[in-house]
Amino acid sequence: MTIKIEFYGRLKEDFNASSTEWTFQPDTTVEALYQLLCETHQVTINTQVVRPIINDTFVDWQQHVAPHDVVGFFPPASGG
Amino acid sequence: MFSLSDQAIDPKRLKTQVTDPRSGGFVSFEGWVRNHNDNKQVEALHYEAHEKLALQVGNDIITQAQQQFDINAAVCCHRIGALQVGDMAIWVGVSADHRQAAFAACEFILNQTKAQVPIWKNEHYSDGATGWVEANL
Repeated sequence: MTIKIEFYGRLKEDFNASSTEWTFQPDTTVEALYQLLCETHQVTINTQVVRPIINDTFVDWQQHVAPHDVVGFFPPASGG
Repeated sequence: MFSLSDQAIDPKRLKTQVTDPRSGGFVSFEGWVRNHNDNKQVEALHYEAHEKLALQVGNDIITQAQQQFDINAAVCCHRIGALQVGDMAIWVGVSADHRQAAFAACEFILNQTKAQVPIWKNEHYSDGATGWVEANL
């Protein structure tokens, strides 16, 4: 099962990608997915400062991902 | 109403959206691109946004301001894309019966926009380097 992952702002540089396809195991939460991404890319970022979305909707870290989801990760906003 | 613009912000046009015969006062804030940040010389910057959620969150902030403050109208417009030093990055305008509510609501909208709306600033420095800016709340 695959999903699309999108990174925004400085996370694009941290993870060296703006988007990528990812194969995941069933019953994977967004938090588990993010931790796996961090391990794979050797990135250390506290989930308290990152906000996840699935299919353009804010979600809780415990939300499970589903096939063909588009999962995004937002760093802290810095507009204005 | 909250909006994003990839073109220069037109404050005169936006002001017409908050003009209201009930209002005795109008407060606006303009945020400009400055030529320095954190001891670095800024040449330009680029704002990136998740447009759908930026509009959703931004309009939620406007609604909160209308509920929390005794105001008649509020508008916020944020630039996206490439900006040069001196360009307007954000415009907030509020009209109300009385000035206190307009000042308070304007500051609330500005602060919440900077903290909550999914927009990210990437600065371009005079030495050719670039850097994503952390939230400056």
